[in-house]
Amino acid sequence: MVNTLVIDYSRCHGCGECELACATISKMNKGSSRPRIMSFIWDVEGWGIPIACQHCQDAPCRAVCPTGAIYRDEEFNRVMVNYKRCIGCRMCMAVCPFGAMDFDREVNRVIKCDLCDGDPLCVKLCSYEALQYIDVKEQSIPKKTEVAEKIREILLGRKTGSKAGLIQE
Amino acid sequence: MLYGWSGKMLRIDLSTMKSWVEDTEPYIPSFIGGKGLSVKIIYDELGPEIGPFDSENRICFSPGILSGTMAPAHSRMKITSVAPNGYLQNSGTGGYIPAEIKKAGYDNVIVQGKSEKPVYLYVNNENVEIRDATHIWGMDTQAAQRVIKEEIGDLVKIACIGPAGENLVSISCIITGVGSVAGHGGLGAIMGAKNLKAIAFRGTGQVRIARPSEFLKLCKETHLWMRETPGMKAQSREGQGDKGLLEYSYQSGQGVLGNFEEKDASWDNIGDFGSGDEFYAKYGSHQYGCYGCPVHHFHVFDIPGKCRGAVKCSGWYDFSGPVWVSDRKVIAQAFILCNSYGLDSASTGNAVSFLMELYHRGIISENDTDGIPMRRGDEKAIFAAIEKIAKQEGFGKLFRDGVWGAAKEIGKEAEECAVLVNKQTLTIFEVRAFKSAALAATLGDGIVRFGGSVHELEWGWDKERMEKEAQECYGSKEAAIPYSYEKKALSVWDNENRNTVIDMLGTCFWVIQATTGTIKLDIPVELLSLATGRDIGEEELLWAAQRVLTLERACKVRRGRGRDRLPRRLFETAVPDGIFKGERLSEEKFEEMLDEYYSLRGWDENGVPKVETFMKFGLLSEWKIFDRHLKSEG
Repeated sequence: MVNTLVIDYSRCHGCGECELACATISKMNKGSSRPRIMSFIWDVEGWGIPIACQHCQDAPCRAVCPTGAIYRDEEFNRVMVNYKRCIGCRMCMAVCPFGAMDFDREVNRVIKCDLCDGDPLCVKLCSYEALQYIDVKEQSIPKKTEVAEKIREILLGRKTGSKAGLIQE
Repeated sequence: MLYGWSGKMLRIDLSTMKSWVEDTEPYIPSFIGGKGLSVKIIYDELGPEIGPFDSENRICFSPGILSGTMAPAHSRMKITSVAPNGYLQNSGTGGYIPAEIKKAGYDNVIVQGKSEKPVYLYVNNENVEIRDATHIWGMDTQAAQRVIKEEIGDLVKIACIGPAGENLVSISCIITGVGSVAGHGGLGAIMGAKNLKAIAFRGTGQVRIARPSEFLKLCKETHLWMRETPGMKAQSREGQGDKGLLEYSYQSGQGVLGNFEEKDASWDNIGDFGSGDEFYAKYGSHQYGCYGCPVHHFHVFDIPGKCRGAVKCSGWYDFSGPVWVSDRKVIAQAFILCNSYGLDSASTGNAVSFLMELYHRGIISENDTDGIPMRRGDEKAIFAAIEKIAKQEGFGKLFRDGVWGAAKEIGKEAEECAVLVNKQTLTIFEVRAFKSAALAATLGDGIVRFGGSVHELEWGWDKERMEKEAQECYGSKEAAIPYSYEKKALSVWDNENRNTVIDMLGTCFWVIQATTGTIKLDIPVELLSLATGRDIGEEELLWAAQRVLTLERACKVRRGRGRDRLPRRLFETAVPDGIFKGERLSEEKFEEMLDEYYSLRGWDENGVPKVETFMKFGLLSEWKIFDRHLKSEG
């Protein structure tokens, strides 16, 4: 089983706990206090959207890296940077479609989410389960269920009021 | 190296359009941080001759020490200034801006002087800009924030005032985001007097933590523990949220009927509140919270064609019982209107209920209120009053100085109906039944934070536990029983101290109360010592809190505060309905309570801190200033 970080944007209330947790743990382990996941908060509407690395299968950052510093780590199903090879050219930042690749002035190198080696703290602290660390196979199940339910309702003729089972007068 | 604190305070002078940075460190040993810093600064810099609307008046925005860190539920700040009623006032708000100020690298932001034209402040880390605000002057609070975000960027966090603050209405608030409000005290008018429409912050720095791994561990544990406590579970996605609050206000006897009236007052006049579930399903949009908090306490409502905004907690009290309304839609709409216009909803609710009483008793007619009859529970009357007060049109002009000004204008009969403590109305809370709330209201210019004592407030939920804890803390279970007078002074004294500590740390008083049941300080104190690396214990913090409260009182005394008083009506009338029906506040016992409180604080019978109290807390230089004042007064 390979888990991955799944974001349900409709559940996010924008408390920013994920970015705070990320900044704190990153500062401790990697010396850089810039969060790898960022919560964009529209406080006038009371809304938030967290943005983080999607760990793409065919990652543009990996393709563009001139020194081959970016690689896929199949153990945790993640995209990682090998800092021994990284020259800090920031090409990966330029091509990332999510802006998830970031540069930190404190340590002077690109930074990205590493899924906390399989135990992401942001997921643990997300009160409303907007962030989940689940099997990739599970990601589409809730949405599929939702659509299936809709179709089922239509087929069952909910509008006419009749349901499966015995028809009671 | 300083941990926890950033060590810098930002001071902005709007008269000279200059800003500079000051050192926090000298203040830390005695005044810790947050509210403590502001009180000390205002005590030192503002003599009693400086009025609230003078350009010399300061307004301090002080986030707690732990704001901006990972500590859960710590994004709070205190706004402190000389309020329109002439006394030092604190008003708290949460939201995102307290953490943003800390991340920008400041422990406190002090604004002084007065700009000639409307401006707003934009601070991006160390860059301070004073920008023109002519184009947003007059806009409502939400529109103004949107325009500023368009100009600067979405990530900026803003605290601003609405038309009410601009018009120097003394019941105006400061609002940040969609619904985090520093309401009581009318500090919006202070910003208005300085021609300061808003402050906008963007911080990309960090709060330095002394012992990060232990701090992180404790934060994580606290966070997970908080989510599992019953109080928080009730607020969660699957829980009830504030749905039951209206019924609770009535069932627990905390809600107020009308303008603290007794005659013709019954909950039957209001009618049924209807189903909360239905209302939330129909109009509720989503929940959201403050920065870094596991509890998402705000409910955003979308009332089509009318308004959109957040309502939480006491917001449900403000426009229900006091203005005889049971319709949730009207209550939410009135609250959101107040937030948009930048009015303090509690004080505005009081103002409307005051008008409704006058109309009900025939003291005023619709001719006095621009042809709008101020009938009890009339939604048109409520919305018109809110709009007119904020915009200072028609009869709204009467309320420029709040209910106090209106009563003086209308005449003697009206003055008898004005329920005021030092020119301010009371928080919507039945102080006649809850005795420690009565004591807290008189001390805090009408503000009753958690009924003065958490034990008393929570008694309705959990009698046995509160009585047991009161027995342990104050030596008598009576301290938890609302209508008893016993040990109430002690419990108010203790609660005030604890509340001051959490104001210094930036802890959310609502969350700490809902998670620990009472205000238990062990976790915040441990977080503080891990964050700052200093060994500051609970005792030391409580001692510092008493020091700050003494100084705050001294500040008020210098401005003419004598023995605290409650309005006559609260002694003369009884609770009209509900579980405490017929309950009265005895004047004699109240005075006894007050004397007991003063002696606990080391103040004399007029509430003037004694010389030995100053010395006990090491306030030597402060005493010299105070002594000069006392001598000049003779």
